[in-house]
Amino acid sequence: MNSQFKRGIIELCVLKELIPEDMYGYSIIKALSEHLNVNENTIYPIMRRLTKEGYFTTYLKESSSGAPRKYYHISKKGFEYYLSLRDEWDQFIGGVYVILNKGGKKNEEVLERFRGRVEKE
Amino acid sequence: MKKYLKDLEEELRKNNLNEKEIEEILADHEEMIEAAINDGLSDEELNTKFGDPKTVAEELSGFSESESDDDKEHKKQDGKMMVFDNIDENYNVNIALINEDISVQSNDSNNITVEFFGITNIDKYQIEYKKNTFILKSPKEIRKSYFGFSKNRRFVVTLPKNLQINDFEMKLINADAKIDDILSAKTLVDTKNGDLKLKNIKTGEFRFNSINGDSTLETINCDKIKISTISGDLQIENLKAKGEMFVNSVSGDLRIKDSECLNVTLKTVSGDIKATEFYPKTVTLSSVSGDIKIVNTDSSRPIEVTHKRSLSGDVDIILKKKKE
Repeated sequence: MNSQFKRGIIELCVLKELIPEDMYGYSIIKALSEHLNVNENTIYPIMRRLTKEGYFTTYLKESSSGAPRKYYHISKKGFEYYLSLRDEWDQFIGGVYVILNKGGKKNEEVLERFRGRVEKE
Repeated sequence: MKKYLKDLEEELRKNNLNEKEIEEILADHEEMIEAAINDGLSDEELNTKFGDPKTVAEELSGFSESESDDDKEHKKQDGKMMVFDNIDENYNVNIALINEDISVQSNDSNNITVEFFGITNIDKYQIEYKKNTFILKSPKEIRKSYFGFSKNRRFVVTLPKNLQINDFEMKLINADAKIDDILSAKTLVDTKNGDLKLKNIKTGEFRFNSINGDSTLETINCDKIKISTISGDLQIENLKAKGEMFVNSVSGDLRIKDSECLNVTLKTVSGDIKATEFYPKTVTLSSVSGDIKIVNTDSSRPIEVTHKRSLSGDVDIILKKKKE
């Protein structure tokens, strides 16, 4: 997948994860990588950038294992940004599905026929 | 873990990040790796979760303070202005943008000015005035994807109020647009996803197309107008068309208020069309499942229905008594 495109989606997901509760770095990575094939080297730079742009604030909090952890908290600006990205995403993906599903049942028949033909070759 | 941090530090230095940032990034990573180990991740899992330090460093340097010359450069350019003078009477306007928002306005000067904000690659745009035509076009190659990392990129174009435009043409993909105060012989506005606000437009032939964008048209004076929307909602207020008005919607909802025209054709598939104080002389209504409703109070201005057809939508013209 186009990496620019992927980054945009991850940005959206990171923002979403932080709406219900503040999280520390690794817990965000863990939450996302549970569902998406992404790792730290994509997620961390995004979090850092979003923090720099004022979408998140950070603070340190002691953890049960000893060392304090940096928690990320979504700001009002971040929440508004999430809403606008979400909107953009819904529109975009909606349009994509319209295109992919265009033709309805007939489209599926065409695909089926095409698949049959490819298999024969 | 020690090796990872050391490699990362090296890569960060290679990418010219400053000391303070390197320190911060390393501390963040130390904490994240520690948390991962506490979580019971094996060395192998750690490798897949954290990936290549080189990639992180490169990603990070893309927006680090030390490397933000690009950012500084475009901040410097913000609000910069391009001016075109010697504009001819009956000139044309041709705007085609992909992701940049635009606002078009007019003032008393005889020049066209273009201001831009957040545009890093202004030299890639086609911005010129030649052969009677003002052109503003996005670069052909799309540098940024449709989605994500979209900085706020915006143009403000100011046109001379005292010179009439012949053809005004604006085609937008994702850009939001505002147009205020335009006088032209012909107007074409076409948007895919962008939301549009058009106001104070005086024109002969007006053509307006929208796919997804929600739009408002306010105070429009024209000879004839043709409006088409797929799923975008549309609000029309204070529109006067001397001749035909043609409206076609697939699933977008339409509201028309305080408007008049000679003949109107309203067509919808599933969108609702609701009009109040809308006075065409004759009307043709056609709907599949959307409702079409015109509610008026002025009984001295009757509407003749030339054709009415609907599959399952309610199609009605209602005359209400004026509220005292």
